[in-house]
Amino acid sequence: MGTSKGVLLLLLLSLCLASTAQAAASNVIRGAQPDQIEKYQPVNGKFTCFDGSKTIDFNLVNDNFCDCPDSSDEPGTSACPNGVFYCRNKGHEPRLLATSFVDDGVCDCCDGTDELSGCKNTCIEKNSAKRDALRAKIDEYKASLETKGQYAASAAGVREHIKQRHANVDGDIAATEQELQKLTADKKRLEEETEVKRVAHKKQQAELAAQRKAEREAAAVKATEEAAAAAKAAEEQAAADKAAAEAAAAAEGAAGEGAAAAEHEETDEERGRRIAAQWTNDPAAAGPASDSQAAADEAASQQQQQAVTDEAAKDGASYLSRVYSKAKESVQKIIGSPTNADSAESDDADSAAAAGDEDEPPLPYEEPAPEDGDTDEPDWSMNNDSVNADPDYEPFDDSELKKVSEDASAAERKLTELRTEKERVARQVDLTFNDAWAGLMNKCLEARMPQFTYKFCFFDKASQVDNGGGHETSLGLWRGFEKGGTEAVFDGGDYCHKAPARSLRVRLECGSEEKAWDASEPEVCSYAVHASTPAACKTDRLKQLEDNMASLLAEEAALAAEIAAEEAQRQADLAVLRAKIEGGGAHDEL
Amino acid sequence: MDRGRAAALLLCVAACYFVTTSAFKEQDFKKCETNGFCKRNRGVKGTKYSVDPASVKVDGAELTAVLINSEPQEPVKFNLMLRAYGPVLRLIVDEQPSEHPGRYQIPDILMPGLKQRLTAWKGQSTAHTWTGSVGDVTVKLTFATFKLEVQVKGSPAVVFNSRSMFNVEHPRKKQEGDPEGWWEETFNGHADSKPAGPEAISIDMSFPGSQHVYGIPERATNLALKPTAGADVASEPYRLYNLDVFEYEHSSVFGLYGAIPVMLAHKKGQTTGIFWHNAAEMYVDVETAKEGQAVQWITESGVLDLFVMTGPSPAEVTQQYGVLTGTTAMPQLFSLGYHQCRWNYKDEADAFAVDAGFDEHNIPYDVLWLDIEHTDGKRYMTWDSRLFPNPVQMQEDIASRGRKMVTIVDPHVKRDSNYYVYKEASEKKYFVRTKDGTEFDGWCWPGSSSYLDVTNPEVRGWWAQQFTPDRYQGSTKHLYIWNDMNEPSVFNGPEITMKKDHLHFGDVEHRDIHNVFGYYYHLATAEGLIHRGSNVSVYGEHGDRPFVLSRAFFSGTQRVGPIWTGDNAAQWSHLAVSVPMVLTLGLTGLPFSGADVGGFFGNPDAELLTRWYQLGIYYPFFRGHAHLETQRREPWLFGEDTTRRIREAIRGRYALLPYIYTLFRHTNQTGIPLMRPLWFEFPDQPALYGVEEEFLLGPGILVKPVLQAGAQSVDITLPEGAVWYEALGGAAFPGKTGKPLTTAVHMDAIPVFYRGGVIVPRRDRPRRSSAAMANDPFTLVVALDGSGKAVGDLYIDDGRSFAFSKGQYLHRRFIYEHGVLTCDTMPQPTGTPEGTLPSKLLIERVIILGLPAGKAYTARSTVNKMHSVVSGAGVDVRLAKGSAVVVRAVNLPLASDWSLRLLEGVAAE
Repeated sequence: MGTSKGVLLLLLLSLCLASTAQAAASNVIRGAQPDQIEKYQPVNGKFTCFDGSKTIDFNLVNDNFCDCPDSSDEPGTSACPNGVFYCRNKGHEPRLLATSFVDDGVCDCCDGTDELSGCKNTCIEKNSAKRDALRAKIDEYKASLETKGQYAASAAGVREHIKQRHANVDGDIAATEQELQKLTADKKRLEEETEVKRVAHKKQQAELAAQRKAEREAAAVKATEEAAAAAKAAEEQAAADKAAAEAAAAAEGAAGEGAAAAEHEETDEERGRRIAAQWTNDPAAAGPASDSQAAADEAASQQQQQAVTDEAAKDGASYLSRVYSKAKESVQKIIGSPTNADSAESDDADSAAAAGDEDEPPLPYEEPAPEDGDTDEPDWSMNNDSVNADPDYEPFDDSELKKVSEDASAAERKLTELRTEKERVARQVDLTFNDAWAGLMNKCLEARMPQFTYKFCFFDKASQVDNGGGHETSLGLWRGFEKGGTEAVFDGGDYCHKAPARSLRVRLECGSEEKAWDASEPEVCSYAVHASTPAACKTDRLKQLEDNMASLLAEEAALAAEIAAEEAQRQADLAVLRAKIEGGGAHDEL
Repeated sequence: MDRGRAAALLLCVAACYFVTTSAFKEQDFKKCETNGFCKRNRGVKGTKYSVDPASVKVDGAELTAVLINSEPQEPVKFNLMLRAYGPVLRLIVDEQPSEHPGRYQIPDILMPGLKQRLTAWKGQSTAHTWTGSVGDVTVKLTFATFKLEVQVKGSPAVVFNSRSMFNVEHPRKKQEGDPEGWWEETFNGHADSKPAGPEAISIDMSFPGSQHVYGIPERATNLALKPTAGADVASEPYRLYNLDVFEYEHSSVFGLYGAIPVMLAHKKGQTTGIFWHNAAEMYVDVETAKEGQAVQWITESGVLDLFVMTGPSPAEVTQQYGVLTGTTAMPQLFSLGYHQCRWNYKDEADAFAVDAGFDEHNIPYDVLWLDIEHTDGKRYMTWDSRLFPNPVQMQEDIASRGRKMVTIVDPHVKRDSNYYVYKEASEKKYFVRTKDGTEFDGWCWPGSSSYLDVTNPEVRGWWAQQFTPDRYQGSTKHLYIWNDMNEPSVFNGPEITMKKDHLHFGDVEHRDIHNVFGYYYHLATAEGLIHRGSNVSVYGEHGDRPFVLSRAFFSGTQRVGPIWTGDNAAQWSHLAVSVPMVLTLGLTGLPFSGADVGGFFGNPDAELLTRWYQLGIYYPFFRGHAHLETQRREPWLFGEDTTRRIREAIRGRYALLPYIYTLFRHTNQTGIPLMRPLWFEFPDQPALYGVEEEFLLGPGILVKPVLQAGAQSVDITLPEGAVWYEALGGAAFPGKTGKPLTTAVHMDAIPVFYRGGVIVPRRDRPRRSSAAMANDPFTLVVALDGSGKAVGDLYIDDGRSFAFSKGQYLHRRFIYEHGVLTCDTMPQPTGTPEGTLPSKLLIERVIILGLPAGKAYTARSTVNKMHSVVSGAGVDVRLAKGSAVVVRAVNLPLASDWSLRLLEGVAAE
């Protein structure tokens, strides 16, 4: 008891509450801000509104009736329209609250003082965020130090690897050069052979296509009639078998498409979409997107699948699904392959997503569309559209040549890489560094800024890339660690007018993973960037964090004890205020 | 999967999506000329109908007769009935029973128990006429040509068929050579099979001596209906057909989302109301004739079932209509606060940010709304789990600050057999059918959709089961509902709605029930919330009043819930037209309504938005809403000045909640509207009959909205016969009809006046929500009339349950007379249980307007307490700009009787 009373006194002093002997708790002006306490001292039993507009009896302060136009006479009640209520929120952060929120049934202040009806003090719980953040930081630090240990353990292996590469890289280069030579020769030979075959194939296909085109045109009119007839048959069948009625409708729909191919009339769905689109340009808001071919296939597939798997109407349904397939085939022959320019332009990913659960595989009768790669061949004697639209077109097989070409390109790339590696390991083989930095060997990071991206690889090199054009400027080669291992330096980069050649300083700090951010140019052509790595973490900092945690917990415990000790006094204060407010009418007001 | 979709998949043109339009599309909608029944009947005079004198029989309150159309070769007979329910008359003309199926009549819109009001005729016949009277009302039925005149106290109120435009298209068989359009009509490629052929009804009526007619919502046009017919007038007739009209125009005869076939005619000493009890499509022509306003009214099908409300005052007409179709359901108090809506608050974080924004800027609001995007693919009563992963916690969190949420639930049901609502309703065959009897498949927000047949009581019963949290997953007791698109809107249907030959319960055609469809859906949803509220462990023994906002409406909607005026636009013209739109709804029995504050389409600037809030706080239903593609417009996004002005406006709404809630109790008891045209309160001043730019809220507050950009001053009509006190300054102005008061305006407020003679209760403490005001004391504004008197009242109850209907309420009356303010029990209409409610609520302040301000006063209450009184300028923080006499901290208990005497001079100690 003695201790807590002492603490209470201290706190009263520290909050600049009236230090005179009459500073009885009941004189505390509810809701008053600490720096305004003096204004709430009665002067000859009077109170003057802060704006000076009025002087009133002091007992009218916080009497639950608004007298001051500036709302200053009622800091602790809701009587004034624009009052401000101060809550001390001991153990958390003080808060200024509009008096609108005082005694409104909602606990706004964590110390609960805004509600006479009483709220739980949650200030210490509010601090849990701070506590949890500290705990998370400690945990992260521990993990980082562990990673740092692993880095150090890998050091010998890293050094050995570089040594070996330095020894072997010349041999690898020679072997690759040889391989490339052979592939280049093969490629040249195959190119000549393939060209001869291609001419023959082209001629044959052109003849076949012309023949099929004539047949197709003759069949077009007939197909429409067939489709309609099929639909009619389907309808008749459906009349006998109710369960199959939906599939019949599908066939009818397909027939409708055939008829509509020549002269397009608005469908029910198009009409619905057109009206929906009046309300919003957002297609997602105006009904599910589905006009891409992907969705069409899925829809058709689901429809057929539904019909086929319907146990109750199995026979009728499979008959109808054949009718439907046939009708659809005829229509496809007339209007061309399902892949067309429109659907290629639409956003397939979106429409697939919008189609949602309709992710069945495509129907077996649907041919794969000709690949784009074939359409940019030179001197194509037939109209591309008509060939592409011809489902019976057989593509030319040149896969052997393609493979050899790819292999040759790969060998070239590999050779370039090996030559780069050779230069690098030559620089790295004699480097000395602390073991923990081994984890950064050849690790590359980048920091993207609005105009440029800054890239660097530890122990290797750094550069600046223009986000617009992709132009790359060298910021130099690895120089080493400086300033006690808090900075990694690259220098000797591209020429800089009136300044030393470009360089980059990487400011290293402790972090659970490697990251780079916030690049800048502190001096002309001398760049800086921040980066984190576990390798930069230090054991004594962990100790410091753990100490912080311990003192935070101790503080909280002390606060909780203080708050509990003050609670009785707080309740007494509230009771006095409550009596004043609720019993206001009982006083003679004159 | 439907065939329409499969077809469109292959062929749909890219244009489907990307056409941007920007106006009302006239070509999507019919005109009289392209609508067979209207074209056949509009303006047709000289029909030959007569009453068979031998057939006239009177039995108590009912006259029956046979009405003969002698025009066809074989005359056609109809049955006529004329009934009196006290001051309300009812005229019915129907087919005689035959082999034809009878005409449709709405089974359940009229209030039960009307029969008990039947009043016997005192009648007498001559060879050519029958004359009967009930009370002050006399009717004269002329046999040939058929004519019916109604007089009130000897003055003619309405005359039917004076222009011989009465016609009933009788049942017939299809024959070769029948005129085109009798048995089939096509509009924009949609065929209407019309199996019953022509069946329209036309009737003309004139209102002798009247200058204007009012009513027949919903449309965006003037309060006093402009002529559509007659010499030098070329106009479409007014149309009553519930339609989802994209970007409606601000001045048009065209019918919008709802229909109430009620018209009022007014002249000095006589207001007359007409209600045609029929849900089919209607057209109304208005003509200014020599004798007064003359109208022709045509409906496509159903029967002639006309009610005449004989008034004679405007208030009595609204009350008589309330007797017929019911009065406004008592709303939950929260629903009278401010509603914040947007298409769409996009996820939980957005919802929390908006909620926190109101507290941060200290602006009150009660309800946060979620539009269609919150659902999983427009499957209503589901949630998009990426955007709203924790809907229950979200609602609980927002409710922890005393607020509610609303989600949208529309009548189109996504045709997806994995969607439980669709699956169950489809299995039970609960959807509207096409003429061939198959489940109708239309297009709306979710794509392919079916529509619940809510005309079927069984379907409504099933629908009402869907709102408990076990069915509506992710809902909580803090969640209420919004019904949109219930005209019904069908994107690929004729005129964006259903085909008229679709079939409903009992094989009734859609044409017969179209205008009442939305009402039934609204009703079923509200019944769902009532059912949800019957869970005693959650809601207590008195349940929970439903809150369901609807867009479509019909007669009777007032018993169910509020409506709003649909998709308006952020334009000054739409701000202006919202006033006559809401006034008209009030006159026709549906006062709980409002327009979207700010305008749905487009982006309001700070000035328009401010003016809209300043007006919107007086709409009975007060909601801000905005289109998906508009800029954000929460009240704090337009700079500090605008934030402050909107804050003050919304706080003003909350301060008036006690008055508004009391006004709701009045309309709940009598049918009298909240927002009233000036002529409604001052019916004998013809100069007010056309005024629609200002209005009264209840009897006591006159509002003059500012409806023009950059307005520097406004002309205010203050009606004669009252003193008006400017609300912010307290200055008194005598009323002078015909001599508008020109007043300068500023952006901080619009002109508002207290009417002398009325006491207005307020709660002046700004709070974050209506719930947070529950324990706050009241202020009484006593505005004295010329003789120093004023009266007012204050109604309170628990604000949420049905306990009030069992007597758990307080209704207090205040009278100020001879310097004494008394508080006692407000007399109640017969049949209302006496009210008791334990309450500690107090009056904290009495502001008296109209006393000399320079004098000193004290006040003494009956409990012998003295109260200090201040008078003069700046005496009250609420009247900082003006003067008044203020009795401070009176702390008088609301629940007990007392009186407070105001004394001149300073009292002795």
